[in-house]
Amino acid sequence: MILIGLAVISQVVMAVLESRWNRLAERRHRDVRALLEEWRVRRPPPADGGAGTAPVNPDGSGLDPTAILDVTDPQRRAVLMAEAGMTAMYPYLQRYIRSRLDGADGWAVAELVDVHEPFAHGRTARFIGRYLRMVDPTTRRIHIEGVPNEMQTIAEALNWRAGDVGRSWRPDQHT
Amino acid sequence: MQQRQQGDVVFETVDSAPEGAQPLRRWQTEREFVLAEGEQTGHAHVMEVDAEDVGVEVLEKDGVMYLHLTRPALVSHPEHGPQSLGPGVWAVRQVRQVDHLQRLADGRKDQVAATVRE
Repeated sequence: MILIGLAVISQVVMAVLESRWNRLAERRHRDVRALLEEWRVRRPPPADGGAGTAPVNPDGSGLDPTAILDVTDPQRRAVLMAEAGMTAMYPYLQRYIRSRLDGADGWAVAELVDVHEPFAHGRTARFIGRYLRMVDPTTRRIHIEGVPNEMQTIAEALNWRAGDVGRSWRPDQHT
Repeated sequence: MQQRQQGDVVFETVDSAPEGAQPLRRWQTEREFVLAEGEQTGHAHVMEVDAEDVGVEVLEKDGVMYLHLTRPALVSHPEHGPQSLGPGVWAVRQVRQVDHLQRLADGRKDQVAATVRE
């Protein structure tokens, strides 16, 4: 009888916790959606004085990276940065190049970079993560991709990126 | 062993497809096979084949695609140069990356690897 009672109580507790968790998740989802809607409405006009239809950055969401970095609440700033994407945010963030290689494993240039938020409004430079910045040898397009923060070398990061095949990733052809 | 790369898709020769790999059919047209879709640009990595004498078997296991080619095949993409794959078995993967910005936005401290978005 005692075991049955404990089982019932644990079921009730689990149901309450799950319900609370779902409510919090829904509220957060609503908050994020509202925040992004608000920011899309506030999209600044283009610098060339055009009709305002062109996005601020063509690769991303149209959100203004400098305005995002002026947001004082770190959680709201993080949501907006994620929406804008690293390609759009990268030029506005602090970057510490750990290593750089020309012609690294098929890339014209590859850099292993620690990316931080910039010092602003008296706040510290929050560490965002470690990234590979790579220049495509054929198109010269720049690719910026996050890698695990424990990656120490470009070769290690490129190998992880390719799926950790158990040997060095050195493509004999790269396009 | 040969390794090739086209944008965010990597190719590597292997001895054979692993046991339990299942046939995969994702034909776009009779002559083309979509190896990977571009999530952001909408541009796909497409392998051109001959429909009447296909010469290619496509298998998949644990998220890795295996191409068994009995004749050369050409993989094209609008933003990258073509890749020519010779006969043999090729493992095909999309590269992976950690989405640090999304992790911060979600308030997570752990690093979660996610499939790359082109």
